[in-house]
Amino acid sequence: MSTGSEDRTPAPIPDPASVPPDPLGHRLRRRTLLGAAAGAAAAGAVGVGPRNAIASPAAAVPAAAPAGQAVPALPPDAAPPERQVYVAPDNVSIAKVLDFYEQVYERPSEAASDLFSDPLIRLNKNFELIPAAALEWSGSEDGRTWTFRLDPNLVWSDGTPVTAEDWIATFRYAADPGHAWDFSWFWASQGTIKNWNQALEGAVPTDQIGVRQGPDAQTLIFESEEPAPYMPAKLLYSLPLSAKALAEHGPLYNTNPETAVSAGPFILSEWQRDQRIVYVRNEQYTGQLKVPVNKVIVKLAAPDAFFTMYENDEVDFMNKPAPAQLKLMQDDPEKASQVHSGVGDFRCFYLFFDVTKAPFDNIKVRQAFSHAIDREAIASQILGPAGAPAYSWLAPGFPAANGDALKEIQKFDPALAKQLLAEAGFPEGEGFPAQEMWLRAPSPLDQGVAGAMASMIKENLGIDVEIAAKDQQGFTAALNAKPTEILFGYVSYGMDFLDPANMLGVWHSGGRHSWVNEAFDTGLDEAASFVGDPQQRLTMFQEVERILVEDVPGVFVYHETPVQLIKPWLKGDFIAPDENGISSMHWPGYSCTSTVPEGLYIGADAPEGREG
Amino acid sequence: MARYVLGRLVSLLFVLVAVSVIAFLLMHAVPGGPFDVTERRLPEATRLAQLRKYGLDGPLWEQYLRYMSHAVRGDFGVPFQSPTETVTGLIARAWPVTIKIGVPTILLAFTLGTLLGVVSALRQNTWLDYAVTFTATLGLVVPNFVIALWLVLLFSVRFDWLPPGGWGEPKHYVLPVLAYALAPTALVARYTRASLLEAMRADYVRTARAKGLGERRVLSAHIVRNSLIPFVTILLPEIPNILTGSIFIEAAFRIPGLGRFFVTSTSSRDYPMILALVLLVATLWGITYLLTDLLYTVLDPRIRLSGGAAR
Repeated sequence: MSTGSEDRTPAPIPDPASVPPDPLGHRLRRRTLLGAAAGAAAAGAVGVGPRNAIASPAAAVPAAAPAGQAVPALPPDAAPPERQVYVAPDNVSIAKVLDFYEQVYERPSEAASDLFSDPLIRLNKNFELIPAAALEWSGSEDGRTWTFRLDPNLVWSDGTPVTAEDWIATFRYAADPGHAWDFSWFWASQGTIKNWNQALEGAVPTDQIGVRQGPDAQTLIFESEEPAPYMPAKLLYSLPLSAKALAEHGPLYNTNPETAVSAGPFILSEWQRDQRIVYVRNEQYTGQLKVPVNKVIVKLAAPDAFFTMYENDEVDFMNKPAPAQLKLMQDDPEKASQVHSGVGDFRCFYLFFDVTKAPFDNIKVRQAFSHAIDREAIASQILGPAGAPAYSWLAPGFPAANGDALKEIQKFDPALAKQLLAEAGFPEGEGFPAQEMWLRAPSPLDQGVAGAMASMIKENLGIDVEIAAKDQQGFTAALNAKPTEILFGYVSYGMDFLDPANMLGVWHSGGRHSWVNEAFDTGLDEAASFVGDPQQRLTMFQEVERILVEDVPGVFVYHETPVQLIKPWLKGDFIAPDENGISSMHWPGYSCTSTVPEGLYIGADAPEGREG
Repeated sequence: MARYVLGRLVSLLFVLVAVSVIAFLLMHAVPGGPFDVTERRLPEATRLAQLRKYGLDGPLWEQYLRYMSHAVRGDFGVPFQSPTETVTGLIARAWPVTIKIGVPTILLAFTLGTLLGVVSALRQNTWLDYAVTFTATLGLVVPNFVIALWLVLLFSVRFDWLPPGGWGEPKHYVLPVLAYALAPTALVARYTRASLLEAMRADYVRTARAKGLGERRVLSAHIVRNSLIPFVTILLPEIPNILTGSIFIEAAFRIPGLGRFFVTSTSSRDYPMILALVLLVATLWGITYLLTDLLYTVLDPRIRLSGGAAR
């Protein structure tokens, strides 16, 4: 089976007429924007051939180990090396640890993250899987065994070579019940690592999990419980810890500059709690990224302060400004060009129901809700460049996305909505209980969209909806409870890896929601593990998504195109338009899981004093 | 006196136990736990392992007793918000920062507030009185984060004199202290004015004047001294408030202090930190009220303390 870019399918060609006019002048043509991803997915994540071909997009193997991290030649408009400092803000409340395999949800990942080791593969800005720590990889015919050939020149900053042992130690630590890793679910389903769940339960020792060394220290093998044609894509999250440092200093070694060890382009230099994290160039780095920046400073603050920091030139970048802040930027002719809208993680915002309880156990009620939401109005009046209307789950451009074919199913049609509600026994909303729409730690944008939807439901269906903003913990506990404790809510999900199995897996029974549909489950399981023709596999996913959209366990509202503010002195290929003309810092951002670090340098026009 | 103080301290211990029980029960009654942050449901084995790892797997009474048995030895556990340090270490790191803002805030508020209050009282119903009253009202009704924004706009954005945020240099103190001090300054000014005016109209002041005492002596020995009792009663408890920080000020100026933990500990269900902060605040308040009672005896010799209460 191959993962090479050579079998990439062409990106879908957008129909310009299908893109609504942009009232704010900054709306992205989402369909165009995301075309690259489909191509990349077909090439990498989904591109599993029927044969046991070994044709990953192999990187050239360096003939000999280089002496250390090469400093790329800076362009003429770059600041001198000593001023190659990238400064970005992050949420002070999130910055608890720095390593992915220590905690995922509590590490600062807004601005710069995961810089201490290369994953096996990374994504370029066209969402293609490219070699990182693994120079090439191959899968067995049954899709259950994946072999990665590691770059033999990689070395930790303490001089220890990077070997398969580092990944083995990392994954064993992640499966250790004593660790209780907050992302353990990721390897517990869909491409489940062999014996992973048994190890979590303590039923087998962690040395029995399906991560092992091959014939030599530079060969790493992953074994899964079920065929996992998407395994390379999933291994974007394969940033190893140092086995030696883990044994000597424990798993938190990268929270202290004195014990920090790195095989990535940067190493921890300073961590002033609640103030800033400083990464400096790891001179020992010999990986594939050629990074112009010499220092990364993450300034820790409450998110409310980010915009002031950005306005005051204290930081170079910020994510997701509030609507009022965005308008300030757009209205200023000098600053409007700093507003960028990217593809993010293909996030879909949606309303969801507990379909096991009345009144949402009636499909006509759910359908009525789906036809009562005017997504175009939400996009034009509230979202601006931050999102595009959604009528189905998979965002345009995501592998197997089928928005055009599915659009009619949940289209905005208030007359039809009223009719369906009447057929369900609630003419004009009479007798329909007032609803509470739960929101998870809502941003100002979330509250705006939710408020608009509540008004539309009232106007088009005659149903009273009250907005209930919940904090992260309260909402998540209620959502994940079995049975769920949320009857009606509004939330989002973005991809973890670039394969429809991941996004659609959210709706698998026993997962995030109470919806159970046997045809969906069976179809998804079959498509996910299908190791035949990639195109056929995509078609299988499209059939599965149709079931989802038709049964309306959720009303799909918009696909996020997250807004970024980027100072003009951040230059380089990272901001150059991708294959589809998108100009933004692509997901996953300034991280070893992406090529952004080698495509970003600081221009000579950067103001002094940002480092303080 | 010593017996009285000892009695109050012992009663404070009982108060701390009661407060900790109430806080413990309340925080566990709030829906959601510290680890309910994942996008998808954790495997049950991991969920249980998390609870075990942080001592949240037993019945509540057991968890409480375990926590308190460690707490009395100074071990308040590991904050879920910052698992690489201890609660004690976190407080030892963050509280001094808050105190560094709080102390100048208190000094500024009490000196400036008293001065304004005295001037306002002595010049009652003049333009000066009206100006002080207006400023004091403004300081009380405008939230300090709005004041903070105004100050940033004026001194950082407009004039570029002071940094809009950050920590570590003396210049970083100026705007937070000004923003933080305005409300307590206003409070002190208003209470000082009211107390002075009440004392100035008292019979004993009229008597003092009738006896031929000079105005300065009347003011210092009779008016100011007697007006201090309501002043102490109301304003001394402001001190622990200020010394434990403000999330608004600290967030607005990016000060790495303790203030934000009062909110984030609750929102992130950081049980060890919540309990430690509750105990800290309760202790501070208990001591403040004890000091307040002791000050009464200094200010008014008629007041005597004995047993468990002031008479």
